[in-house]
Amino acid sequence: MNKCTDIENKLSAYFEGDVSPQEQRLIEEHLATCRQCSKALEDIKKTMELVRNLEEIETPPWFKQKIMEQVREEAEKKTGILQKLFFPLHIKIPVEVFATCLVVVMAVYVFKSTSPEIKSLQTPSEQAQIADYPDKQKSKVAPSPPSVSKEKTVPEEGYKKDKAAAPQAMKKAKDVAAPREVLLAPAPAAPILAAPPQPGPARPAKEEAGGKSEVLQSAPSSVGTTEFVHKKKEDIAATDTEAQYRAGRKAAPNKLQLKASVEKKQQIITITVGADNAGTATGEIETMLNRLSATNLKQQSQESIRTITATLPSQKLKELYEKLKTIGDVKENVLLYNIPEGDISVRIEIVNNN
Amino acid sequence: MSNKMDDKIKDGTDEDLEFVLLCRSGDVDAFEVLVERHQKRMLNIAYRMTDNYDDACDVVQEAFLSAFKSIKKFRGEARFSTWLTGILINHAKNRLKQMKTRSMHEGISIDGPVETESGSYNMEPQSPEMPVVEQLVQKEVQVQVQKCVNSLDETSREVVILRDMQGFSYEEISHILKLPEGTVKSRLFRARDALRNCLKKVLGDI
Repeated sequence: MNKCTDIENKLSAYFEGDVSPQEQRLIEEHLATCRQCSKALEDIKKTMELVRNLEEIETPPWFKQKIMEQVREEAEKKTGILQKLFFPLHIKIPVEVFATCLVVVMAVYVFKSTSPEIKSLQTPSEQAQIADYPDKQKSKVAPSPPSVSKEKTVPEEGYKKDKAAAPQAMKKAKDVAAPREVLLAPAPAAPILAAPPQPGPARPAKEEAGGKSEVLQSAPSSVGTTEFVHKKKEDIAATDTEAQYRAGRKAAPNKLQLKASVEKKQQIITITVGADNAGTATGEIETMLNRLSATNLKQQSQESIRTITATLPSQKLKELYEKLKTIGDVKENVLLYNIPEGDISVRIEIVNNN
Repeated sequence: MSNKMDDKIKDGTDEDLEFVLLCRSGDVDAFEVLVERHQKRMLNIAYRMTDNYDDACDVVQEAFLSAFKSIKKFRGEARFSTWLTGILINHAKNRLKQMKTRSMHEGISIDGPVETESGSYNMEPQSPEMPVVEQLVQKEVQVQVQKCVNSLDETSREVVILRDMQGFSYEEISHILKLPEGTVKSRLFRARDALRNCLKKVLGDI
């Protein structure tokens, strides 16, 4: 029995020919005598046959196509990964550039849309500072008087030259003044023609006044009236303008604040006109400003100085300046170039020459 | 490596190599030829391993896909079909593991095969008055054989499938399973004995 179990365990190997020749002989001898073991060998053969004869199953329809679909997807994915690795320029960088541009544009837009508010918020504080510390204000206002005096030196220089020239200075001065008058005359002639009849008669008077002022201004200096007196007058005028400026500014804040919020910060240009009859000159200037389509016209008078404030388009400023020259001696405290676009506030101070 | 493969092409020992090389150079259609050639055999192995047609289909698809992915790793040391079968067996084993955990969660199936400690298929002894073998039609015998194959443990089953069903040589099987030939043989003989005993019980007389 033991022998049979041993033999049975080796039957598979024997069947495969995987036993030593000695073992093979032993098994063959046993198989010849033992029916049970030869039956076991038969069973093994039959088992193997049964297994081998198991029916083959068929693949489902479209099995190959299904597999290939997955394989192709995988192949595409592989190239997709390669493209991402090697060609980052195709997608990433343009998107980044676009995003950066968008951020910059948004930042600029936000800044621009909020900046007027910031400015209008700053102005009251600045004004408060000016009001609180007159010293500071003086230093701020200071540039205007020196500029006035500087400009006043211009005719003085001319006068010095004249002085050096000859004792006939007075005559010469008249001569100099006359051609100027003549030269200026044709210029306003055209507006007169085009202008309504009302300003018409005013024009000759203005020219007369302009001419007179010119003559009178140069006359006393050339005669030799002490410069000291002249300077004193200047100082008075300067202090007066300063006081007026201060008063104007004090009265102005509300108006300024409103203007600032509506049309940003406006620049105020101050022009000083020296005329021998301030009253008539003021009237002339007012009508002239009306003609130049100026708005917000306001007149103020303080002892010797009459002030007109008005708003007019910047491109008309030059025209105004030219016309003011015909009325009297003009000194502006702001250079006429570098003027911003849009409406500009103009302040005309009419000062009596004597 | 490539010399080995070229030699094999010249020898004609592996008719798949030509398409494998084409496939490695990026020709996806070449892989279709390989699928066409091997799909049926692969499905049969998978089916005998898993005993579930749908699972077998899934396993074959997975195996072909991973073969495509790693086709550059094929060194030509064995035939392509051997290499492919190795991949398939691994996938089938993984699937069996999943099925086991799945059935553990689902509970024991009542009409499923009952596995004993020895791994043999337990059944009521047949009544001598009605020998089953005579009443069963051919297909039913096959169902019983399959059941017996399934009753074998995994290591015995794969050897029986590869050797007795698919006719791979011991060398090829040892390559597929990465086992020494001696181990393959001893496993095979043990599997056959278990199978014979199972069939005896199921069919009464073989």
